[in-house]
Amino acid sequence: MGDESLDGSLDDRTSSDRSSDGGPTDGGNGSTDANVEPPKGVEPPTIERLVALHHAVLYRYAYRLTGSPADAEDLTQQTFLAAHANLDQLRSAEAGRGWLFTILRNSFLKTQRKRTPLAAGSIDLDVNSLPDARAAEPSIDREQLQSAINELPDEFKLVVLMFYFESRSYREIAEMLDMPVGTVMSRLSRAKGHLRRRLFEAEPELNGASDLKAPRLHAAAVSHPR
Amino acid sequence: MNVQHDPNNQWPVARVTVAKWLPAIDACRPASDDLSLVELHELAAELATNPRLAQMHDRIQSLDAAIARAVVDVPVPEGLQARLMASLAAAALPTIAGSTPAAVSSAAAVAAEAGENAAVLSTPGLVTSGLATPASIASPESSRRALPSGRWPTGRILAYGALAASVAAAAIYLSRPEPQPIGADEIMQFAVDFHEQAEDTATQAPVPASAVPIGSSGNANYPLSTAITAGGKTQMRDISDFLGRSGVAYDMSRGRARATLYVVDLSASRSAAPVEPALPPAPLAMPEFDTGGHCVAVWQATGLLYVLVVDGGPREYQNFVPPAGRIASREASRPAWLAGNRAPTGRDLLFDKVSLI
Repeated sequence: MGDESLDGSLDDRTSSDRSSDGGPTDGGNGSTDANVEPPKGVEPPTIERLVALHHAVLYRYAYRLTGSPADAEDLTQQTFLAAHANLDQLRSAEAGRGWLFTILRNSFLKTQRKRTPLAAGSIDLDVNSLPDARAAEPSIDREQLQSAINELPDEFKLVVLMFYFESRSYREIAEMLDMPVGTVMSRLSRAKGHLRRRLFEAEPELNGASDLKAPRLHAAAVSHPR
Repeated sequence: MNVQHDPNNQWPVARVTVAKWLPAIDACRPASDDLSLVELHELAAELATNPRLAQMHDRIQSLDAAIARAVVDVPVPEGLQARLMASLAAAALPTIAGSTPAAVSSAAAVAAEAGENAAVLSTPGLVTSGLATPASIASPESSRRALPSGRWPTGRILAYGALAASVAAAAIYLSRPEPQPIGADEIMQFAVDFHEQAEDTATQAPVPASAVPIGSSGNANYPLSTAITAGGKTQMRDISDFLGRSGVAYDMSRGRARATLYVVDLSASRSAAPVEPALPPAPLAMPEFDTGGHCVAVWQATGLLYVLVVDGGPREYQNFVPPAGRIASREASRPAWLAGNRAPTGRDLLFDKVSLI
């Protein structure tokens, strides 16, 4: 484990301040006004400062996207190289996380070519098999989570990671990925359904013992490992 | 949102209710005020009056919080920051433009001193052609000896350079990997995405469509499939870029059930990847792909690919796929030679329904 503490996206984010951490003046979608002067008292961003502040969270995001430590490090490196070339777009290093996330996502998409189909099967949610919200919080195996994320097609992976990792609203995701809101909601629901099936429904102790389980759909459960 | 619900309520949430509200519930970020968003007002109202749905919402919120904490729980490799800084420092070192070898670049500098055709000597294509090796153009003396007196043979150099570039391009083209055939699962997922994007687009700009009379087969090149029961009301519209192909979409409705049948040509073109041959000749008894909001069937017949996207679940699906047209399973539809993993005989090709296009 590195020397950085976890700086998960849930800790300090509310729905009202999403755009504030983007740094760029546009609210975080990556396009910026050039030649923007940093506010008084704020140091102009340097690449050293950006790396020091954000390399850990960027690596974690890259790892979730790629599923591989080596690929994650490569992707992180590409992101900082691109950021270095466009540093004039950023007001301050402290506000650069959203901007770096955008570069990271774009870099990731450029390196992906093969379209991986989502495993065929129903995402019908058997409500009574989900762990009770009032029960102890379920533990999630880190490797199992990554394995489930790896099975997602890239466009689903991006949407669900923007939801969980960046804590973006579906509206923000739609704007940032230039996608219809309905498509985002559908993909988000399908991707989350896939994660829930893989993480929770396979564990009998987490399945409710209800006699009133909703009927399961017939499905050709064909999976396509990457 | 604070919702009171009766934990003793044992009635399950109806599947229709789950299918209708799940995407909206999934859109709510944990510990957020997303229910106050305009697009989620209906959900908020429903949660206030449907205790079981509210319980489902609470469960999903709890699981989402757990997943969100797990998502960011990734160990960072030791020394990552130092390695990143080292790579940035290396990238910042002054380098010759692009990726030209040092010899070529120095040759370019020599040519610049000579004052003529610097651009020609600096092109990588010239080096790879072998006609002007870095060694031969490295020094001003050797470059002057190699040239006809008084003139640079620019025409010949350009011609040879163009030939070398053509040979290289052809080698790259011929060595490119053949596109992999796409299978049923990929087709069905594509179809759902295509269908949802079309729905979103249609709300902003309706697509021109023409009515298909009952009993008509529709477009002669992309006819309605006889394996399904078309709706009482059917509209037909042109589509493009469906798996890289053009075709027709039939928007059907039977009562409250709605579906769209996409029909495209199976044959591969330069821009379209081939489709695997082992698709069933008719829709399956139950949908193979079900997202909770749509269910999908794919089959092929008479050289055409058919993809049926139904709004809803199996009950709605069965409105459009009559018992006579169904196949029990994809395995049951596979011809014997394909299932037996052997080459087809002449009899197989005559009597089996699988298209080999």
